[in-house]
Amino acid sequence: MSTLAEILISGFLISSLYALVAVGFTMIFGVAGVMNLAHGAFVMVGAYIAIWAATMMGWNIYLAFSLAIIGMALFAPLVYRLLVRPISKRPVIVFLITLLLAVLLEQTMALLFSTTPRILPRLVTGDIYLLGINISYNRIVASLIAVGIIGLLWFTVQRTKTGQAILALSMNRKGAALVGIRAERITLLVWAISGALAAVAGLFSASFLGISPLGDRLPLVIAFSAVVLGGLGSIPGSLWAAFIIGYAETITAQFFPEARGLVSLFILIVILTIRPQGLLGREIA
Amino acid sequence: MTKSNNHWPDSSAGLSRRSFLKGAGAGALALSLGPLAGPWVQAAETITIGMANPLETFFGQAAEKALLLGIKQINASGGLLGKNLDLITSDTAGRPDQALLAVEDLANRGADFLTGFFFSEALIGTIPAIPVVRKILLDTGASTPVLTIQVSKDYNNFKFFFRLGPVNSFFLLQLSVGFVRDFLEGKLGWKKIVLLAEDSAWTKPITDSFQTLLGAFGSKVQVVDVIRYAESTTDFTSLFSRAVKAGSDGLFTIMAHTGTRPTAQWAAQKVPLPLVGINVQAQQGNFDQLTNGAAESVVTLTSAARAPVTKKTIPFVDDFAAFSDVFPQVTIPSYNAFSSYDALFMLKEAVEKAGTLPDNEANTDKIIAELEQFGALKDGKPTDLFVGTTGHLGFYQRGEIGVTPLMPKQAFPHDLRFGPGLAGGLWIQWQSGKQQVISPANLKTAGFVLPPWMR
Amino acid sequence: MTPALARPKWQLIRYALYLIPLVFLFLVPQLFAQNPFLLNVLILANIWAIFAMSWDILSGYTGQISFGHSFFIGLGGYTSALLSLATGWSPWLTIPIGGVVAALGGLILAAPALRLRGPYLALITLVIALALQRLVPMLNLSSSGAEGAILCFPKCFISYNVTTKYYYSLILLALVTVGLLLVARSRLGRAFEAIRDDEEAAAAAGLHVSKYKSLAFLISGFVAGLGGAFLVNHMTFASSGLVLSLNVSIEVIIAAVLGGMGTIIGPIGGAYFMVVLREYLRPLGIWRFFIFTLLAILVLFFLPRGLFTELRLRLRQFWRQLFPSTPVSYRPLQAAADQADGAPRPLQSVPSPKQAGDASDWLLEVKDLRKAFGGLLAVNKMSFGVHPGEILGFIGPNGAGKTTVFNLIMGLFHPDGGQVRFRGREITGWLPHRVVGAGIARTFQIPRPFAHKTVAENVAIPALSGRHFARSRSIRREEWVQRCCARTGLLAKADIYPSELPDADLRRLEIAKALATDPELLLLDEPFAGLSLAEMEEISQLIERLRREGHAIVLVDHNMRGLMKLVDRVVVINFGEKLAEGRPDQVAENQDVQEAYLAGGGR
Repeated sequence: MSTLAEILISGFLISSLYALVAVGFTMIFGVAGVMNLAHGAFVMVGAYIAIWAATMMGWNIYLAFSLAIIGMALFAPLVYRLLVRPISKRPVIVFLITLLLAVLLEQTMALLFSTTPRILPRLVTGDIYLLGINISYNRIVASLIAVGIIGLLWFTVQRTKTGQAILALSMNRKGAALVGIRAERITLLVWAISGALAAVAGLFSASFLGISPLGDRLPLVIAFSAVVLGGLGSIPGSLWAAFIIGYAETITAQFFPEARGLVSLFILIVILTIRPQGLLGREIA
Repeated sequence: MTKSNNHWPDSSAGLSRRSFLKGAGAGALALSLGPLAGPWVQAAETITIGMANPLETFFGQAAEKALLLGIKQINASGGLLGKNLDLITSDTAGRPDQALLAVEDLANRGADFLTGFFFSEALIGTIPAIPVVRKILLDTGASTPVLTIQVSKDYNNFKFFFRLGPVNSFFLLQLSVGFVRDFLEGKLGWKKIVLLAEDSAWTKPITDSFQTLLGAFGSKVQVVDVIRYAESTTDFTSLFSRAVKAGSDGLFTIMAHTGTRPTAQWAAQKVPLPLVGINVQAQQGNFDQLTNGAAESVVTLTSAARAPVTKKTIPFVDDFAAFSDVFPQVTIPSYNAFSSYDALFMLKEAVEKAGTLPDNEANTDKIIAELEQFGALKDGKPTDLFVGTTGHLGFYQRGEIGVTPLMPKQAFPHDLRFGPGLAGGLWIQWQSGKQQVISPANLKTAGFVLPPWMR
Repeated sequence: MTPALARPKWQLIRYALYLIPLVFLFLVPQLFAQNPFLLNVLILANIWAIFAMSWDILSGYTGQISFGHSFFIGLGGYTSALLSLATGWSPWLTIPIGGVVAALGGLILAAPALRLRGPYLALITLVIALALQRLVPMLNLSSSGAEGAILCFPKCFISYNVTTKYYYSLILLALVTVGLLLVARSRLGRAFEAIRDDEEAAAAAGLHVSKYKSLAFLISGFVAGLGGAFLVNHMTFASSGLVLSLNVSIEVIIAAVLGGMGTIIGPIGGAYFMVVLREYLRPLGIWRFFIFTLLAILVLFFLPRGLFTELRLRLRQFWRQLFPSTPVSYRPLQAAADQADGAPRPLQSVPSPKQAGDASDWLLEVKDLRKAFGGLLAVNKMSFGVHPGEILGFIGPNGAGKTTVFNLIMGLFHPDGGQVRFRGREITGWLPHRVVGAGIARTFQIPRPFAHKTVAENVAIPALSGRHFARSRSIRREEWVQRCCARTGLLAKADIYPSELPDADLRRLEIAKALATDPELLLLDEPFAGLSLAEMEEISQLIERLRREGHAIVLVDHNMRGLMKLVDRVVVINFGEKLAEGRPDQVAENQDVQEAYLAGGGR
């Protein structure tokens, strides 16, 4: 029984983080039609901003976290304006340039912080025994914040005017502009939100998973997988997919730790073969 | 300017235009390739040491710092054969194709001797280069036995290769088993362990043979579980609880590419099992900072530390910390930094004995012969051991079969001799933010401590 | 002559000119004193050029962007290493076998990939490559604890001599380049490009899209596998970091795109740029990769088409400013054009039109056709027929399901129920290329020309399926293309790109492409939409002429008045169901039709 509890809880904790990464990625694709392959790097840079502030400048951890979130919320739209928008007519090049940007960011962090993996100080210390498993408060807070943010996002998109504008823009860019929605403003906002989401994900994952510039590009692969699996442009879809991937990994880690990386990939392959448009994606007409 | 691409009617103009294009391309190619070809102008008055390492990593930086320190000391005392030493470096980025080019690059730029390497996969990449470059190459960080096996199979082309540290993977396994038997069982009374290994090829022979070897070495310790985790594992919770359920006295780790993440989670989850074993990342001087204090009570194997392994060890560690001209933030030498320092001085001694520089193959052979003298067997015992910072260093000879239960018929010429009184490494434990030696007994600076939550 | 069918002499000279850099490269060892560092750099550059070209023939030419080329490279590399270890065969054998195994792997990859587009396809290639990377260590293939590497030295070692290895790599590069250029310039390459430009239009043009995509995967896989095997033999071992990592896949893409996608030659330049520049920057130590990535971003940003393509473009523009050229004249072709225009098709007899209700005489028969999309019933109980040589009108309001019926007949969608018969044969649910092969062609409501090809090249695409050869082998493809152009009045504009054509001509182009598949039945989807009265008149005359030449035609439109004069019979559709059928005057009087459709006064 405790194994089941362990799987449920661990799975939730990791999936909520994956979901945070995935949602940021989906939003940009849905609204701007851009696959921002630098998203994983945004996650990493967010973590490093906090590491710099907290460990090298000795700032208070809350301040460091805030700096990271604000920093990425400003950095991401800058990337859009300077790098992505000028070449937005060529999607393959956008693909590749964001990928190269990811590599560049990795290299920059490696130069500044060396390649050794680091752990970010935790936001909340202490732990609790839940159903016989030791879980740090930090992870619980991370999950709750992740879920809270996604919920807030969902609420905003459904209920507020800005949110509706975002939705409209994601459905039809030209049409939205025609009815007076200021596409450029909304796009910048969405990039900013995406950057902030990436930073939050980076902060929390760095505090218990560690961060390293030349890692295996895990956040990007997860984000890309979750987003495509869920169906491009569908936020609920990418949420479902993030949880499927997270739980698949947790279950495999419990029973076949060596095969951990493989099972989630096989699930992806199977789902894509059966449903080429992803779980909740629109059928490719 | 037309709207469409590729709008190009064929005409006789095409002939000249294309040839212009091709000619320009060829010219550009010639211009660009030129500088890559050597030879750089060599200053005949210096002896150049070429270091190939992953320069971005802490380990690459520590090795470079150790070499520069040694060079500074040698030059200050008259140099080598009357000439000053200098250092050039080339990045391997941990990739085999880059390592190949790094070796070629160093040779191209006039290196007389080569040293370095950290990732075994990168070292293997030098195999095509060694017979071509034909320069002495002293490995100071990669433990793969593949290269020394090459020396035994094709001496004439691979005689240039020597391993200064660490001992090769098979011996590392024996070291580990010995530690379990002598220290964990002998001193702490452990009866059961769980192996926690990253799922890499280098750990496979270790986990496969651990229990057998324990028995062969006369230990009664039982390996109750072997957990091999994918290197990309993010969440170790279920692995730790599995280890706890198996009911053991501790976790024996076999990690090199990973380490920070599992250690951090182990501490965060307050796993009631000590974390000891091979944990290469824990060797780094700032590991405690990197993991935010999770390093406390972590034990790892390393080549040397601030302990009187030999009379040279502590002075080197202190000089290294004080040498702030280069990489001031790297204050503690990593294992390959110790070995790099040793390599430099060992080389110096061999060159002085040979009395010549490696300016042709015959002279290189003379230096190789002198190197081979270190640890040469006389009456079945190794003699002429070089006193380095990591121990008394010598090499296995050609045709000599070392004690390696996993490959009983294989010789490892030019590999570092392993055994009591030779190079054996030592086991350190992080205590209060510092590395303390806990084994072997004659070098220990502190006793073993339990993780904070188990005290 | 149109550019697509360039004079063979110039092709030969162009190929000869590509040899100049090749000759220079052959001379490098002599020129630079066999410097091993330089030669090793160039060996690596050659291998990466092979990788990049293999990516290009797939992703640049068919538009299937592969994010996991390390899959092929790794398959080729590991196969060669394992084979060499197990059998001791020489690299001359193990390298090609590595290529073959990788090609087969390409077919395995193609299976799920065929149904996927865009980012979904990119993801599955990425995922399969990652899966292989994670699977290989689990298979426990390596022995000597060598970090997962399969050491096949010395049996797999091509040579100790760096110069020899360099020449081998150069020869392989040359062979691969020539081979891929031949593929790219061939009909296969044209088909690839058509699929890249517009997959559905390519299918409508009769190309068996899945077959071509699979071929692309096969070829690409083979070449990448060759390169991977060569790399492994050069390095003497196979390891995950060398041939299977994500970095490898990414660097292949960088090299190909930096050079210029869709050119085969471009990626060679891109690979050289990437490899040589990185080694050039070695003195920068740890800054090397950072600077290189920055440069790559700048290059891509300012020269998004790739170095080679941009260079070629600028040089062409520069040349044309210096030497403005006269347009190619078509005078020699007028004779052929006059002959082709209005000539009756050789085999089909022209039956008398305006015959209704002769059930045994259906050319196309549709019975109880049904299709639902999710909850929406788009087509229901649709039954009608088309006689040979007849013009049938298909009218109905927007969204009535007219285009869906076309799509169902053509095989773009699978019907949920019902049957389609053509010349007595059941063709329900056939794939588009087979339907086209049977003798039905369609045009699209919004013209979908292949944007990067001239009019003549557009018309040549359907002719790739080779069907017209079945009719008359003596007709050469170029003549056939000219004929189709002539019949639709586009001969004078054969050399022009669709972006420069007015709407009416784009409609003509759609029809010309349809004609190029040598059909008996033409399905024309709103050929009059958005045209002026004069243009409508011209297209009407064209359609009449086509009927006289023996084609049966189904015409969709909602311009009733214009249609009524042209058609023999009319089928009225509303909400996916047939509302009425019969002669135009009969239907116009039908009460239901008037209510549903004409009540608004007719447009």
